[in-house]
Amino acid sequence: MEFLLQLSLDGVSLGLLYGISAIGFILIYRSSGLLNFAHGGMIGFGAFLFFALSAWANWPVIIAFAVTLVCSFGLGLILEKWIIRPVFGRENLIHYILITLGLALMLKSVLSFVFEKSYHHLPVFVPHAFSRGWFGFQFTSFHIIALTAGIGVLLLYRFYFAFSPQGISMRAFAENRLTARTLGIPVKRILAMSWAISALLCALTGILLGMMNGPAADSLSAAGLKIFPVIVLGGINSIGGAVIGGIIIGLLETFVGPYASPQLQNLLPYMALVLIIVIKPTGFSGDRDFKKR
Amino acid sequence: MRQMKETEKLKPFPPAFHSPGRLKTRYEEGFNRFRTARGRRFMVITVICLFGLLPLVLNDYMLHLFHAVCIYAIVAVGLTIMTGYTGQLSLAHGAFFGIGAYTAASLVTWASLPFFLVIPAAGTVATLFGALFAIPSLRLKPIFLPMATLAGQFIVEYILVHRLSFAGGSKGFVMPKPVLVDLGLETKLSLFYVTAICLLIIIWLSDNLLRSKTGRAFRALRQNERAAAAMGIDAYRHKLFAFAVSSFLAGLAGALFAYAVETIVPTFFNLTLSIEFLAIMIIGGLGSISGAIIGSVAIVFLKEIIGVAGAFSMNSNIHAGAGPAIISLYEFVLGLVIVLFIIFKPEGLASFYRKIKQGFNRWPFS
Repeated sequence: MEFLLQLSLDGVSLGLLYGISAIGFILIYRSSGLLNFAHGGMIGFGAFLFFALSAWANWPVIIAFAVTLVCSFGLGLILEKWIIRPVFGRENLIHYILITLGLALMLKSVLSFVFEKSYHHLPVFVPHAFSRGWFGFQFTSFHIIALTAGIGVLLLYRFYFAFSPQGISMRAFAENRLTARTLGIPVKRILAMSWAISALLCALTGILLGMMNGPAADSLSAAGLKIFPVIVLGGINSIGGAVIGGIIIGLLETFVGPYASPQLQNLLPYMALVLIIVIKPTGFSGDRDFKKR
Repeated sequence: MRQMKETEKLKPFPPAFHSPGRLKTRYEEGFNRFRTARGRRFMVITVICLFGLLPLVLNDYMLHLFHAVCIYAIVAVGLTIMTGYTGQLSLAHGAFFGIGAYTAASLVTWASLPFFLVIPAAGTVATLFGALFAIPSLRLKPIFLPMATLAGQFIVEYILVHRLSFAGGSKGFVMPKPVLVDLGLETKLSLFYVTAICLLIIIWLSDNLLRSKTGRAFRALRQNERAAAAMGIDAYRHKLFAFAVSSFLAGLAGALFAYAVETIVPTFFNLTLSIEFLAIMIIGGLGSISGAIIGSVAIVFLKEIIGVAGAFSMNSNIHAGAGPAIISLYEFVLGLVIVLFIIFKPEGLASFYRKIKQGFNRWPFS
């Protein structure tokens, strides 16, 4: 029983991380209608930058963390300006998808070249002294960070989109691009912001995932592709659905390892994806938008 | 009466030396594949020289590359039908290619079927696997097909690596030599001729398919699915047909690949291979068969140049573990090429070819 509880805690923490990165994905999808296959590359960028700053340059953890987030924000802006904006006006799904695929290949190959695919170890924020058993759960520092980060990001996201002018204009742009444009909402800034925030959330996920099982370019870009089961489960453009989907996929992954076979761990999310598409393509949110062509 | 006779006497093809402003004067001329008899003659001569005579003078290495170009071109023609014409994107063609290769290898090893049965069987199995992922997702928004085929890619890769231990598992599957009653298919050269003939037949058939009613329906679907459906085109059936044709061709090419390389390794058929096939389309130019062929030449040579450069650096022993580094370099260049082509030259290398051809057609006014 304790083992079961512990596994579910692991699953929920992992799922919250998937949920955070799925929020970034959906942000891009809603603002530009683009499936970002380079999500894994952005996750890897954050994790490895944090690793390089904290382990190679020996900076204090907090400063390295802050600098990583700022740099990822900048990466999002740069990617949007140089790579996405030239093709944005084309409204061509094939170009959109292929350009992010090319980007994903570039980021992944650079990371695996520089960091040479060996396993590294990331420092943790919360010292291990904080980890304690509680009702049969074993809270390690990773769980604490993942849960606080997940809930914190959800709250921040909620407040940002409910109250800040920028967030409100981003929502308006996602709702109806043409109307938003006529009302004077700056399109370029909205797109740039959505990519930058997405890259920031990716970096956060990357750092936490890297803390969990060591940053490796392959596994981090695989984690980026696991976004697709998560968002399809949540019903492609709903945030709440994505978090629930993330938790479900995380639980599925953690339970399959010990109870079935560890090889299936990376496969099961994709089987779930196909099943969802067959059974209920709207996912949890029940959005009718999926039939719009 | 006299006028009637003159129209009857018109040859099926207009005069060889045509002037720039030549217009079509009869309805039937619209059906002609070549505008002039000279164009058709030029095509026949090129095909004979390129596929008939050139392999005889090439050395083994160049022949191997040429063989690879032909195999890639078959997949690329299939993808042209699906991605270039119908506008559907699949990320699982590397996996379908692998399914074709494994089907061919197991059919030859355990059932010892002849060559001409193995090839279509491999294509059929790949089509069935493709249908598994395409049937549910093609009814939905166009973004569902890339996601479903991404899942398909990983599932098939898992099956090939972990579940086919009887077929060699991750160590690879050794393909027996092709056996045929009369033709001596043992040499590389004769195998190349078989591949080249397959490619030419496929180009011929798919060119005719794309000029038919079905091909026009494909193009209508790419432009605007809703408008096409309003005009009475069954969107789902046509998309499924395009997907089936292209996965069949991927499986067929996989079988030819298995014959060509003799040992197939499951990790070869990964996501990068699928992206490579899509890169062929982007480099050559979306939506033209000539683009598919030019793109596959470009990709095979790009791969080979980077491989050669890597082999050179390994020999000179500058970098000890150069293997993964070369793979990283290749992936980086592939990604860079895709991004640059989409941003700066979305119509691909085929546009240069078209420009040159147009220049010849309009000479001396080009």
